[in-house]
Amino acid sequence: MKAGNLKVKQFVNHEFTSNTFLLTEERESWGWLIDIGASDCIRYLTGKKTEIKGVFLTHSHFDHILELNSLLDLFPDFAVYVSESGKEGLYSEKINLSFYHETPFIFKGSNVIISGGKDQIEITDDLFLNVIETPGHNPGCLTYSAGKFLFTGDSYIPGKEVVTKLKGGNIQESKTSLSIIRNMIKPETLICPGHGRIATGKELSE
Amino acid sequence: MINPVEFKDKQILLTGSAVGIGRAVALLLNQMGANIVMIDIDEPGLEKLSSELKGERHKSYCYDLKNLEGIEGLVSGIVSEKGPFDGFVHCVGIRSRRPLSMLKPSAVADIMGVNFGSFIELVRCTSKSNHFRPGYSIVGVSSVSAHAGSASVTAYAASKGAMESAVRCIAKEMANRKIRINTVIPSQINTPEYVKLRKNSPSEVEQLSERQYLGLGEPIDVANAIIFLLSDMSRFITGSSIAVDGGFLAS
Amino acid sequence: MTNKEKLKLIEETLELEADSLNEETNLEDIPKYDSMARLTLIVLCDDEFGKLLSGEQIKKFVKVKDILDFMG
Repeated sequence: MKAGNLKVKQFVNHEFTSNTFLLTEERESWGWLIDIGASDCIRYLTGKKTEIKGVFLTHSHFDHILELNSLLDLFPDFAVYVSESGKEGLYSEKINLSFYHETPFIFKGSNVIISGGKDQIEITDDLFLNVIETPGHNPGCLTYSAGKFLFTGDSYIPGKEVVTKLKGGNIQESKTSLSIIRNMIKPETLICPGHGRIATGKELSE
Repeated sequence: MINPVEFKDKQILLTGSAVGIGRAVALLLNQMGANIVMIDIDEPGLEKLSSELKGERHKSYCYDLKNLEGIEGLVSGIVSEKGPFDGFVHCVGIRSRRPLSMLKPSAVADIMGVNFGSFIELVRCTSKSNHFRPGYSIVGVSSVSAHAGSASVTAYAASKGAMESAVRCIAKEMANRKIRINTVIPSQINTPEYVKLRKNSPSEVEQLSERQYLGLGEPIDVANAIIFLLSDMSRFITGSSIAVDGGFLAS
Repeated sequence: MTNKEKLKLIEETLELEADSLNEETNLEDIPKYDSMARLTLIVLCDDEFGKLLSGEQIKKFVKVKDILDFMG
């Protein structure tokens, strides 16, 4: 998917259906990732000249971070952008839920940058990624917008109810977050959720 | 010919379905046409299982069963949305190994709460009028640990022993409502938990394996017994515990 | 928690004499450092530090320092 000079490629972890998005430009000399649960993305990047500068995590449930250590093998210097409470999930098998799936996983790296609402990170010369706090699914959920793209993680998945009954989940916060997200959606917005396909603002309003 | 193990359109509540025995039960019930309602803390695991189930009427609820107080509201909500249950299987359980010296009150409470407390609460809530259909059958997954002591599994074993005792009482109390309740008692079953135990304590695993004449069990072996107990084939069985243990308890 | 406090915690948990451990102590030299002691330390790391130490990992530890480093 393209919007201006920004190209977005979707990769899916077929086991857990979680999405990984690669933000790049035409020649793919550099890239940023939104979540990194899909091994297909690692395979795509292996052997390519694309330099991954960082990963923006919508939240740290293990289906969205599972390939962080594989990415570290390919790009030892990349940064992980995550919320303060999301950071806990990187290093705790119980908080990221992998313990309960009997497949414990923690991040081996340490280059972690805490992100919060209203942060703006420069992606390219003329494009910024905006960070929006959208708690509810869990306290550390973040939504990211870049140009026409809106990366909503599990805070908003078109057609699905937000899960709020896990530890740290909060139905009131989720409703507020959904409201914030919906206000950001215009007809030309491309909503890229944590699971499922990319949807346009236009089709969602119909 | 009547099929005595008939689950088409039956609605079965399942906890701990994302891995191991619970997962095998879900997949087997699915093959038999049941609608499955799943409760688990493992959200990605539920997503994975849901994508493997055929049919449109399954639903998963991500919930931490450590929160006993919220279970009543959760069950009412599910029944309002999905209707009453034909069966309930409790496969969830904290299996932590913890020496007695580290078995502080909070750890005991956690293990007893999830393994036993949530089971009792789910039985209590689903056995209210209009929450279950005629022929309602409940199965709890116990363990040979409740019968044969092993070091470092005190709270886990106690929670399973409590489950078996409670089932004998509930069976009597619920007989007039025609609700049946039983447990299955698995021994060593081939799950990721077992693989980990074999790596970390090979001698202990070998000792236990000697008692299991039929070798290592598979999750489907326990699932088969659970399906039997859910079905009309076991309509005269209640308050009992069926060993699915390859001969462990008999040896 | 400082390393000194962690050492004290390990001593208390394994019922060892106060100040009998330092970072360089070899784990094999600790009295009754058996599989039960290792399991006790695994549970300690989880309860107090939220870190899951596996049986495989702890068997590779040589000195007390390895445990302190894992605790973080």
